Amino acid sequence: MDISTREKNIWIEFTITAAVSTYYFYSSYRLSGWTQISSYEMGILVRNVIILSIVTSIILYALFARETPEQKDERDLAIESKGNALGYYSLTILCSLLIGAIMLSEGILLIAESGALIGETSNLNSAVAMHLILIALMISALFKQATQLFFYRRG
Amino acid sequence: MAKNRIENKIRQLRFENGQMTQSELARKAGVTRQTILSLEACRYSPSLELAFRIAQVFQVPLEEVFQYSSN
Repeated sequence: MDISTREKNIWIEFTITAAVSTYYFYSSYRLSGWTQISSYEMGILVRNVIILSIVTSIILYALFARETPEQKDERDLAIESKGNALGYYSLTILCSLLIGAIMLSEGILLIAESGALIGETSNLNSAVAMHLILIALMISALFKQATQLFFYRRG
Repeated sequence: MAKNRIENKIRQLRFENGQMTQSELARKAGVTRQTILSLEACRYSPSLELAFRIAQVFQVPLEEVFQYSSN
């Protein structure tokens, strides 16, 4: 299979993005679901994500893409532009859906044992919203890279 | 794989010009070898500038390198 260094780099970025996002969302869900997460836990998680990204990058680039990519030509620029466009569209759609979800999130009534209404909350708190935004960012990044890989393979 | 309407004789011209390799043609035309590969497979349509540069490498008119198919 004839693959340029530039295409290998995109494959590596795609793999790293998929691995890091899988690790992050799985770990954050295991810690305390996505409804709440303490600053300390978030700090540990971010640290681990950074380390994982760096280590994975070093290993994959050392193994598969040691050469410096050639200068981008018109085909590379065209494919990059298509990837950016589709990544942007997917991010826009996901963010729009998220905005809708936040606006429509049902109020959960807090009622005391006595039956008195204490207050109202939402099942879409800031932690959940943050994670949904992160999911949108990760999906759009993966979509952008997948689009580029599709056009490189298709020619 | 999708083929576009612009066909070319790049491969034939390469062989007629001293068995030029794709890499050599890519270097002279200022693109990557993969772009030449895609051009020869008619999976990529070059820009006008690139088309002229390729024709200049072979020292032939543009129409001898690229043809537009109306089918």
